This record gives sequence, C-alpha cells and structure tokens, in this order.
Amino acid sequence: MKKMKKLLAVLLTGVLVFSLAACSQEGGSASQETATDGREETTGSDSAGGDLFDPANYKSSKDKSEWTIAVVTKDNTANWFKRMEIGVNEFGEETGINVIQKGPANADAASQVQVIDDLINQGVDALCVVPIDPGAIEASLKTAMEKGIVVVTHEASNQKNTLFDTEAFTADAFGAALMDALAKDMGETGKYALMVAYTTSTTHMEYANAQKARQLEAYPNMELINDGAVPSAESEESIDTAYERAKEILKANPDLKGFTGVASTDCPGIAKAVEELGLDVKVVGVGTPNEFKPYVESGTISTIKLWDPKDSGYIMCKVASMILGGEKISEGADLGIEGYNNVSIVEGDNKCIIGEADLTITKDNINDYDF
Amino acid sequence: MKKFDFKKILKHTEFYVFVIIIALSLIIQARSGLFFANNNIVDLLRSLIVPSIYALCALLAFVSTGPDVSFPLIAALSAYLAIIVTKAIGYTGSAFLVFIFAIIFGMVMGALNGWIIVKYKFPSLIVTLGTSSIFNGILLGAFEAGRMDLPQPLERLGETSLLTVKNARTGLGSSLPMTFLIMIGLYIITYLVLNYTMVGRGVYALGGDEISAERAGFNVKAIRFGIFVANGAIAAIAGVCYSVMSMRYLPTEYEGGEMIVIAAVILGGTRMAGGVGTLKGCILGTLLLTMVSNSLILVGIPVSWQRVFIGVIIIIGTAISALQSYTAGRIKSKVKKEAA
Repeated sequence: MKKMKKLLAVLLTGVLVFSLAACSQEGGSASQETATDGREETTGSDSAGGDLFDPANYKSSKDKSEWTIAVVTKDNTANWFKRMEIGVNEFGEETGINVIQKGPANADAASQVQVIDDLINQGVDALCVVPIDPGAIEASLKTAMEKGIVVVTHEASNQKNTLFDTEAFTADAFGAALMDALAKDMGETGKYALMVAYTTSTTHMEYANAQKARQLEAYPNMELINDGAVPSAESEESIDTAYERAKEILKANPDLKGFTGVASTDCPGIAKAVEELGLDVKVVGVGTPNEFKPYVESGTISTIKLWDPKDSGYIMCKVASMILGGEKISEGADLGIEGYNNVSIVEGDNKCIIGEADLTITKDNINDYDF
Repeated sequence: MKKFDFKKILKHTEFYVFVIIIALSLIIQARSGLFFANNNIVDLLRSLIVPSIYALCALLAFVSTGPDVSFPLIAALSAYLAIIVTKAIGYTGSAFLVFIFAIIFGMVMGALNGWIIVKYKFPSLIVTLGTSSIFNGILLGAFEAGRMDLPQPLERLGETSLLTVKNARTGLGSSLPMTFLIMIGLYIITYLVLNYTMVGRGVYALGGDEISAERAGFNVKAIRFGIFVANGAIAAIAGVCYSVMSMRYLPTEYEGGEMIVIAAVILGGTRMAGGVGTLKGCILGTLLLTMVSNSLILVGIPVSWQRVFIGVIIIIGTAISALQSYTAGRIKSKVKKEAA
C-alpha cells in the first residue's frame, strides 16, 4: 500500500512537470502576472484614480542633471537595441541627462518584469519600455506610475499603464506599406504567407492584420494561405524556428509567391529556407540592414521596411524628459528630429505619439545604413 | 537468437510510443499527403539532431541521479567560448578541434554541477537550475554575447551536407547536415558504455538503489560526478551542432530547450525516480515530439492551437507510460505479498 502511494506521488509529480513543459512559456509569465497582481491590490488603494494618467502631475522638482531615465528593451544583445542605445546615449550627451539602457537576460516577459521592478526599486525618474508582452508588465508599470515615475512605452499601442506610447508610424500605415512593398515585388498576384514572433506580440499582430486588410482592399489577385488565417506561423523569436516553419509552409504551399516576416528573426530564417529550396519567393520584412545584407544582395529579401530604432530610443527619452520638465506635448508638436517634426496624437488604450518615420531599404540603398 | 516474445514487447513503453508515432504519421500523411515525402523525412531528421543529443543528457541524469536542466545553457556557453577561442587564435583547420574546445569548456561546467551534487548531496534539479542561471548570466552579462558569424572550420562543416534529396513531385529539396553523423556517433558510444561496461551498469544500479549499488562495489560518487562531466561534454557538442546548423551563433536561442526534451525522455519510458530508461525510448520520445511540432503546419492546424496540441500529445503519451509502470508496480507488490 505504501509503495502504491509513493508511486502515485511520483506519477502526479510527473503529470505536473509535463503540464509545465507543455506551456512553459505561458506558465512563466502567468505566474509572474499573478504575483504582480497581488502587489497591485495592496498598493491600489492609495492610487489617485484618473490623475495617474495626467502627464502634468509628473513634473519633477529635481534639477535636470539629477534625473535618471531608464530604457528597458526586449533583448539588449540584438543589433536592433544596440542601435537604439546609440540614440539613447546621443540624447544623454545632448542634454546632460543621465540615461541607462537595460534588457532582460532572456527575451521573455517574466524576465522583463524583473528588470522593470529592479529599476523601480532603484528609484529612477522615468521608465521607457519596449514591452515583450504588454499584458505581463501592466501591474509593474502601474506601480511605477503610483510612485511618481514617468512611464513611456514604444511598440505597445494597447499598453494601458503608460503616459505616452511612442510609434514611428501607425501599425495600420506600416502594415499597409509592407503589403504595398510585397505586392510590388511579387507582381500583385499569387499566394503569400505571414510570419510573426508570437501571436501575443501586439504590434506584430497589428502589422499582420493590417497587411491582410490592405491586400483585401487593394490586391484582389493575391491570396493569404490557410484560408486567410493570421498569422501563418510563429517564429518564437528564433531564426532556426523561423527557418523550420518557413520550410513547412513552403512544402505545404509549393506555389507560394510571397512571404513577410515582422520580427528581426523571421526574414533570415525564411530567406534561408527559400534559398535552400531554390524557390522564387519574394521575402519582405522588418529587420536591420546589416543582418539582412547577404539576403538583400542575393535578391531573396526584396525589400526591408523599418524605422530607425536610434530615433525611437531618442524620442522615448525626449518625451520622458519633456514630461519631467513639465512641458506639454500636443498634436503637431515638434520633437526635434526628422520624422517627428509634426507628430499626431491618437487616443486609444493610451495616448499614442505617432511620427511619420518609416524607412524603405532595398538593394539600391542598403549601403547607406549601417546598423 | 532470442525468441520473438510479443507479450514481453507489450510491456515496454517504447512499443506504445512507437505505435503513437506510426498512427500520427499516417494521420499526417492522410491529411497533407506530404509526410512520407523524402524531403520531409530529411527535414524531420535534421530537426531531430539537437533535441536528441540533449535527450542523452536528460536520460543519463534521470537514470542515475535526477533531472538536469542545465544542458541548454552549457551548450550555449561552451559553444560561445569555443567559437571565441577559435576566432582569437585564428585557427582555420578542422572543425574537430573546435568541438574539442567546446567539450573541454562543457566538461568544466558539468564538473561544477557534479561537484556540488556529489559533495553536498543537493537535489540535482535545484543545482542545475542554479548553474544554468549562472551560465546564462555569464554568457549574456559578463561576455555580452551577441549574434555572430561562425569561424571558418564550423562554416565549412555547415556548408557540407551528408545527403541531399529532391522531391520528384514538388521539386523541393532538402539536405541532411553532417551533424547527423555526430548524433549517431554519440548514441553508439552511449549505447556501448551503458550496456557493455561496468561503469554503464553502475549508472543504472546507482539510480535504482544507491545503497545497494555502493555495497555491490560501485564507486557511487565517482560515477555520479562522471555522469555530470559527460553531460557537460554532450551538451557542448549539441551547442556547437546547433550553431553549425543555423550557420550563425545565436546566444538567446538555446535557453528554454530543456522542457520539451525532458518531456520527450519521460515519454520514452525513462522513470523520473531513476534506474529505468533506454536509449530506444529516448530517441522515440524525441522523434514523437519533433514530429508533432514539425507537422502541425503541414496538417493546417492554426497557430494558436499548435501548443494545445503538443500539450495533449505529451499528456497522452505520458499517461500510457505512467499506466505502464503503475501496473508493473502492482504486479511486483502482489508477488511480494504472496511470497510473504
């Protein structure tokens, strides 16, 4: 009998471990969420309600030289965020404000929550965050704002607990631009597929949906595979996974003519699969010129669409410093760099500052950009 | 020649995993018509390489001691160090030496695991969780490892392929990397060591009952330490293989690989309590999970449902092997009662 009980215990542990294995990704962030939710309840009582979202309440009494603006990225090892750091540091040098840029050790939502919480405890004056999963960091950002820390985000138009989200352009405009580029490259006819990093990446899904909407509206001879299911595949922020998934899609749809990928890991994986299989598929996507250069030069990646992360980093810091200085940011404001000279502000889940700063890179101009 | 005993086969978990594999592949074939195409099989074998090498680490740890979750990070860090060293000395010869560099670094990291586990008798899960966190910190924090190109020897290895096939109907090709041979080699070596050496028998004896193993004359501490050092070496090989196959070094893509591998090994009949586990089961379990995650798009399952599907397969597969050991346990205790 005793033995049976022991065995049963081992079995139960086994089942527990497997259920963890099955959803390790979600499990990790979910538990983090509940943990931070708990804290939200305890501090939530003294929050001032609607005032939390009025930038005017965040004017700092300290001198400019004592401010610390912290930028939190998705993954500091990626070239993209290294380029962002250039803009952040440029801002720091120009203004004399203390800026730091940090990223989680792993590109997952739970680790990012930890980085944000650490910075809150260190008492920074402003947090500029590029969220991995906006939902997972809501509670942490709320805590930050309750402590009087300015919160500015980037690439998170649905983030609720932020004073301003900053975008280089609207997701719709960018998605449409991606589709226009793809349509042009593949001659406006044929099947195409869409890849995103995760279905939980808000911006990626917005781009993907906007691409499909644009195609339905303007390119009737094009067709999204799998009866129009968005997205066609997830790359899980891994080049190797992107490669394997792309190969599968190409096997299942040998007549595919176009492929788009919106995470920086997507296009190299897709392009590698396309070249290996020797197919004529146009690949259009988001990524950095240096990383994509071999594929752009060989013609597999026909167009890169992107924005300059250097400018995005600069703008986040600029917005945070304007709030700390008590300056008002309104429709049509000039934030001082090209593409952001006449910003529009859209109120949705948050107040979103939107520029007109999209870049198109092809074989012809790729050598003008070095990042 | 052993007699073919069907009843005995029915008692093995591996048999049921094999049945599930056959059934699933038939379903995938029926729904997509692509599964048994030569290029798909080669793609599947390619995807199998790294997880199945990892599976060796998981198997050895489970059979002898308990879970080891540090192998993906040992893989990441030792591959990084090997690549850096190769680049620093400007070595352009054979890839073999790069693997040796990685193996040395991997063994040092494995020795750290083994030393803490043997000396202080801490649970292996906790120790390896801790060390993987340390290795991750060293890799991304201290070294600030970024994506980078491979040194010449590895690049050459990545460009050569073992086998290239072309599907006559669709015209799509696929090639099997040389790393496949490394995986086969590792399985053969592990098989020989586990089945034909005293140390190999000791690994099983130790996991079954530590005290009996000690009394039977096995050097329990040395064997356990050796297992973790070997695990470090195997993980390092997997790490270099991964970078060779993606033709770049990608520091953030290793972490998180352990869960699906552990699930695969348990699926293949390895008992979490130790002492039981076969290489056959190990490779079949890995094959099953690789096959499932690589065929969901072919079958046309929407992205959001793919993870649900993988979870269900893991639970069903494990339920079968769990039931298996449960009934085995019942028969044993019944025999005992009768004897008493």
